[in-house]
Amino acid sequence: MIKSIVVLNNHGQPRLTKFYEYVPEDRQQQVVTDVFSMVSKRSDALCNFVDGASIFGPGVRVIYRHYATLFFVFVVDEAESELGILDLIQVFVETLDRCFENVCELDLIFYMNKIHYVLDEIVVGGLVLETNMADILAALQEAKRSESQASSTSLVSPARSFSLARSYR
Amino acid sequence: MFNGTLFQQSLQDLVKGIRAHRRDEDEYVRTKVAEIAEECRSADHAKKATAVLKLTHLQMMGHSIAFASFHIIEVMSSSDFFSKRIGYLAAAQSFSPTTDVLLLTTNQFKKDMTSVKMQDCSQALTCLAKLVTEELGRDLESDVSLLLNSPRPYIRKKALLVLYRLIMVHPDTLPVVSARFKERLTDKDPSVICAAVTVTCELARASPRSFLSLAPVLYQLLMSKDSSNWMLIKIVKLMGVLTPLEPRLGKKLVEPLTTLMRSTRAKSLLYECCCTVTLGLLSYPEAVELCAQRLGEFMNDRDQNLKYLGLLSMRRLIQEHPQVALEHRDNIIDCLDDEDIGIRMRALELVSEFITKRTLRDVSRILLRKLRKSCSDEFAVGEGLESGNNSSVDDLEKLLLSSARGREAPYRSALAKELLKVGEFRRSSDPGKRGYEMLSTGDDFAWYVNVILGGLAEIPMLPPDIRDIVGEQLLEITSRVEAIRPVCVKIALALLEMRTGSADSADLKRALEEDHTEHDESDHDSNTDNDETVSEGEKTQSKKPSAFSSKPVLSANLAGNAAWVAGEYAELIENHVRACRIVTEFPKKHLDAAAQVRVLTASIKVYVSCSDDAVDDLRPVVLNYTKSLLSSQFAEVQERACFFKAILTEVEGSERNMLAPLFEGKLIPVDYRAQSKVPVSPDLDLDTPLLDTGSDSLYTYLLKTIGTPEDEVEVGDDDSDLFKEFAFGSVTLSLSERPIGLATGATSSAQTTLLNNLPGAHDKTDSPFYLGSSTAKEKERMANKAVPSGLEEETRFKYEAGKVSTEAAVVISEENPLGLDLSDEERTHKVSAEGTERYDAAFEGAFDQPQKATASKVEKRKKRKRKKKKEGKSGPKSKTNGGVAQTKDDQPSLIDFDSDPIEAEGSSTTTAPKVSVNLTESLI
Repeated sequence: MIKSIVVLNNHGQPRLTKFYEYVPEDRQQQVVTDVFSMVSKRSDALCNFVDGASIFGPGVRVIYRHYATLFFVFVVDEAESELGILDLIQVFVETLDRCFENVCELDLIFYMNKIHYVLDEIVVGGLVLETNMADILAALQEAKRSESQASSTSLVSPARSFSLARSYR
Repeated sequence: MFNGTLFQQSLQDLVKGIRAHRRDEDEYVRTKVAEIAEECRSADHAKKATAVLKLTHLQMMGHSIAFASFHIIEVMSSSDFFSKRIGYLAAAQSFSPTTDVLLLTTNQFKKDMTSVKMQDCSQALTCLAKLVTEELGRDLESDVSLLLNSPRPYIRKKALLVLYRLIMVHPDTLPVVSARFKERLTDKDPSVICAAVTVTCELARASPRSFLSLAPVLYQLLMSKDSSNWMLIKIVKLMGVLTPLEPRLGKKLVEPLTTLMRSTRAKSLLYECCCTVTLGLLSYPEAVELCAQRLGEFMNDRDQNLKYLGLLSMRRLIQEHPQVALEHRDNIIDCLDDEDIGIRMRALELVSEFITKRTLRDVSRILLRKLRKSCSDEFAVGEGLESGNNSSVDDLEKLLLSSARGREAPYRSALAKELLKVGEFRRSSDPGKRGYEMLSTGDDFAWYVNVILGGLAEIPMLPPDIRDIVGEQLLEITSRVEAIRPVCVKIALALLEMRTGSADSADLKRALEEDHTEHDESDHDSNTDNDETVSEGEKTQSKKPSAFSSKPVLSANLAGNAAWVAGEYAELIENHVRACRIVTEFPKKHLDAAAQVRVLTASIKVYVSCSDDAVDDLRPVVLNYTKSLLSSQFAEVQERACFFKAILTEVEGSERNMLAPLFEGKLIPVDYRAQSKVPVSPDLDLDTPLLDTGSDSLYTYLLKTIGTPEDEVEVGDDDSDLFKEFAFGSVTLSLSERPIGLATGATSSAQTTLLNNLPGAHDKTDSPFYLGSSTAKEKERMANKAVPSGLEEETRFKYEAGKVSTEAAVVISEENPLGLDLSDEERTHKVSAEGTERYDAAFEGAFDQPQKATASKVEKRKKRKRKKKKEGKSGPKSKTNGGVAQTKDDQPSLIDFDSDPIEAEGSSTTTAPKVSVNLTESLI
């Protein structure tokens, strides 16, 4: 299962933290720091897997992707497929990109709750709920409709050009 | 919309505010938290929701929001979906299993999960997946399992995932829901099936056997055409867990998996197929072949991720099918050059799989080269060496030490350990499996000591623990492999010389090479040359990188071991004057007390064994060195220096042969577990106190019998501090209270019977278990010579006890002739040995350093001894064998295997005290 998802910027500030198993709050901050020190020193030419045993115990791997100013980091155990998770990160980011028209760090800063809502349509309780972007967007749309107050902006915007990372699908 | 009310700060405002208050962020946040707490108490739902949303943000930034738990639940229960969503998010992010209001959520969850509004239900499920505790699980189990049959696929799949968490905290749920759960594997909706497969996968990892029954269904899904890749990955992964349990499943899987591996374009699925083959299908050649081929492609791929994973899975494949490793050997070795340290580590794991006797030298050569490259690369990055040349030696050392902790350090450590594995002595109860696996001929050992140990010691940037291993192996191989000793001695000297201050690094380099070349010549007839030329190649290459122009930092342990090797086998040294210079010029500041003592002893040994024409040169060198240590900061070094200085002054250079018996005898490796093989005599009485103190404590007893020591104040029995001081300053510690004392005292009948009971111990001269002091020969010497027998024993004992197999023993047994702070063994020995009194008398005046209470101490010791003698009249007169040991079978065997004490016949006088100590230690 996925133990934790952390989105960090290049300076190590958390933009989104999600822990699927209970982690005390002070430890959460420590994890963010540890994860940052782990991934930030790696150049983009290196592989996207780091052994995470030092943070979460044996068998845990840290799988991340680096987009411009943000690191998207998934901490997973052995039951997850490494390449599958890399694709999942890509799905997550592409979905964000659809929802926010060219998503950038500021969107994550100001609309933290929306980022959470997107992520909740992809991963629930550490297990993957949906990997198909169309289904994810449809679910988000439906939830949006339920929010009593009408939104001023459309949640889903036309697909934007997005630097596609290599897909393993 | 985020502005709950007109004047309320929104989340965006808060974020902006924090960013604007970088300098006094804490202060700002504190005021904001107070503000938000106020807003939480507001009756306005929208205002409350916004407040909670802001708190969620602060929680992420590391602030505790536990105070608002109740308000979060209020927001959760809001009828407004917008607020409810915020409430559920905040709860999921901030609640802990111990949050006291968690129980209040049960009803809210129940209500929302049965709500007609799908979104309320969905939010509740998402939140529950995070929060579920055993109590919540028990209460909500039925609600969640009902949702498995919800008409909406979206809810069904979410409920499945929540169910998994529920089962994890409340396992009793599983039997209740298993039927419904199984139905979901054949759901109409593919994404529900996918979720069900995901959950099955997770559950099956915990107990694979109970999920074997689901294999047919999963197999169907695997064969189905419209399964998504994500789901196929999960199924294939699950099969990897199940196949080892059910061989028939493996047989069925070969066909579909190989088809998938040939057809799929998704690398992720392909990789998982390969993984599953390495886990459960290793007996199917078709699958293995295809898998090896695909993994080979992965390792070759330019994509670092694929390379990494390829190496990761290849390892499992190679363990079963070593021939695959040979096919991909070059490929794997190329990966050792990769930029990514993770990839290199994985490649290194693979390399260790294909080291065999045949490939050993080739592979080691490559590894050593990589190690040097890694060092010089990082050194170049860390600091230009040009500046390194100018800076002082100390700066350079600091730099080297810091790079020993550098980014590449774990990789270098792993590389070095891989190389050192070859020279590990395997201890095993099975004699066939004991010994050096990879090294068999003298040539092998010479190569190992020269190229690997010498090579590693030269590399400046290795962490101290690696150096320690090098030192231990040097010592162990030297003592176990007789034929190789001359080479080892040379290497040991070369290692010490590298650090000797006078010569510059280039000279040192040359010195080391000379030693190698000398060895080449001397062993020329027996050696195959190509390996040596290889080592030469390595040397010349190693000179190039700048990192090597500095002197390597020897660890104290390595230096101590090298000195010990050079000293103990000093008769093998070719040029004693040079050797002595090397040993004595070794910079003291790098040595701890134990290592300094060993270096000093080594210098004396070299002096004693030198030829007549070198004596005049050596004597002043050794004497000066000894004198220089008289003011050492370490008490034990000082004391040892006094000891040797006294001997050296007494014994003229021409008479130095008199000292030879000090270091006579051969050391045999005795396994540290050997003691357990000695049967304990039933007569051995360890319960009766040797010293009957009556009702008094030992201290009082001693006061009564010996009298008050001059320096001591009279104190009560319970003054432990003074007691300690007293014990330290003068008398052997309690004999009655410590088992160690008991055994030492048991010189008498018990020991004798123990010895007599040993199989093969009847021929006493061959037994390693002799107590006591003197053979006929030694007695004679004792009578004739000025050297007191006590000295002989003490010193000999020290080296005998320091059997090579336990290096620590060497250090521990570096005993203390003054009698200050004696270790237990020595005390043992003192009490049991006969010549102690003479020893005391002979050396009392020899020490330059004024020692407090020495006189009274000797006095007391004498008294005690008399007492002892009275008690143990029945004790045996000590007996010894010739002091010169023989190897097993009286044949010059190449390797001295560690062995039973019984087998290791040859031994000398003083092993016995050690054995008795061991015996008692096990009783403690």
